Amino acid sequence: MLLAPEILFGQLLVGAILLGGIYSLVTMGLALIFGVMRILNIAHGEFVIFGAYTTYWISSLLRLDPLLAILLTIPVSAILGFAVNTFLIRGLSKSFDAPIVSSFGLLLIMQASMLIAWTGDPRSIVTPFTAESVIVGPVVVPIIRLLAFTVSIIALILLHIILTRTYTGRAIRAISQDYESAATLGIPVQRMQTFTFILSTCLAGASGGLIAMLFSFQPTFGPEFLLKSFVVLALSGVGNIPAVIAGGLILGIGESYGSFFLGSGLRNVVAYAMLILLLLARPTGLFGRRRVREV
Amino acid sequence: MRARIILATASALLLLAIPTLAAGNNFIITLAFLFTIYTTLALAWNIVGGFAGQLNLGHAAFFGVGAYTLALSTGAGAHPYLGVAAGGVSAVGLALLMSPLIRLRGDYFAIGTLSLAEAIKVAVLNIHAYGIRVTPYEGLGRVENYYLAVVLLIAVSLTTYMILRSRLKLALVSIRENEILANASGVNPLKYKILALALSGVFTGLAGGIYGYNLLYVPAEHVYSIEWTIIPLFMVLIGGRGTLTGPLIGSIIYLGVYYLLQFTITEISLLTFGLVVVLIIKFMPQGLIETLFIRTLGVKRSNIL
Repeated sequence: MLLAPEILFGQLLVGAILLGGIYSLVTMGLALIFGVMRILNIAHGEFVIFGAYTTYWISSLLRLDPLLAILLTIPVSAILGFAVNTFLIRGLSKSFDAPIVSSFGLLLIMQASMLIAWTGDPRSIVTPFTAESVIVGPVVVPIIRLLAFTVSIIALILLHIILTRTYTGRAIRAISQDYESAATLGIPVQRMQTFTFILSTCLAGASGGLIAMLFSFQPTFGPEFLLKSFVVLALSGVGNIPAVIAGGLILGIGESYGSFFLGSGLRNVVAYAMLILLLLARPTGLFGRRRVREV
Repeated sequence: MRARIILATASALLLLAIPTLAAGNNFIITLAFLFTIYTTLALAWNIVGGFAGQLNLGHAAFFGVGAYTLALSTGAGAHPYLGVAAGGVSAVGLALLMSPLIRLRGDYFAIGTLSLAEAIKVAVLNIHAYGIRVTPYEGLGRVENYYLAVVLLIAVSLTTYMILRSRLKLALVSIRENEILANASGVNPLKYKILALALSGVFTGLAGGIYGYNLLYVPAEHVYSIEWTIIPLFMVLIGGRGTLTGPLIGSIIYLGVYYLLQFTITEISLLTFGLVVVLIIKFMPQGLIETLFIRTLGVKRSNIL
């Protein structure tokens, strides 16, 4: 009964895909910074949680619909991202280790300030349609998850258009392909990096707002989202949006099926095991292009 | 040269004398014990992360495996020293298990090792959600355990010193600076990186065993926690990677600042601590040794260990 095909390929798969969309959005911010600035931003999960809290407070203080609150969260995240980039990150990109340590310091700062400001109590956003769901054939689809998935995919498509159709987007991709050539071609690398960092925190903020509607959250949950986006990042390689979406979906599917068959305690083990095996088989990511080795 | 030997011997004697000087003050002994363990971890991390330049974010797994092996083997009736040794051996086993990951370069090695450590943690938590109790052994108290930790710290310092003066350092540093060139000059990167990982693993595993015995209770959540990776990494980067004095100085600064803040401004200590870390990295991205000693004070690089 439990292994009936409509459960295995219906309910489970739909849940997995809806979850995977959010993972893609969370990862996209990390992937952008990683590609353009060569910084592994350990504090990325904290920006996600910050987005969740901002959405929570905006929607409860201004009595706004959470989805509208997310729109207001984005500029707040942008301001935070600008400040962090200006004071902490800029000028560090030369070496590889320093930004990692610096962003870990940032993780401590953000986690501690959020704990002081908002305590460690778990919170969640209740929307008018939290308990609602639509029934499609044998599958029950919670509206809130469908909504979050749709918003994520729309955001990613918009980002894809920005990255492929505008000058700024092309400049960002040029920098992530070859930093020095981009600079010699007259691309203002530093300004683009600042822009990328802000874009990344905006994405993190928006995904945080969506996550706040799906799960309960507290200030210490950041690293979990960070690790999940590491998995997606390693699956997808750097800076290719369709690959990031695919990576997010694979993680969602792997987690859902893994926890279904092995028990929810091993949910994350499945994700990490997938990641390690994939890294071993394809060291530059599942969809990553093989780079020319430099001497 | 002679001054160095005297200084090193004096510090070792001071560490060994702390329990006598503290006259049974448990608080001071615990602080000294933590200092010893963390410094051991920093020096062990330095072998892979400093000399060979591989950003190992899975260091906590070695530590956790060491502590866990001790808990399991003393639970089965083994002598604690045997348990500590078994912890070291199983950490080497883990290092060999990790070695396929060592082919990965730079960022991907960091992500891979981090995920491996997290996967091990979650898997262990799934079996023992509440950790394991360790039964204390007759005649082996906190103080004796502290002496063991100091001996381990001395051993890892001597090992680092030997590496600094050996061909192994040249091989590892050449891999750090340019792996492909190193390979072309006859250095087998894979072999040396695995060797470094195993060396780093054995000391970390032993430290984990000693730490686990000191706790008398080994919760997986704690001993596999990522802090056992991040704190040693900080210490090495604050001091200066690929040296002996760097991790030592980094460890003293880190723990000094950390506990100073803990005891003075407890509520906002983590926040301030994060700021301090960020500022240190901002103004001394190459570490204290490079920025202060070599650039500012003009000490010759060859004079620094």
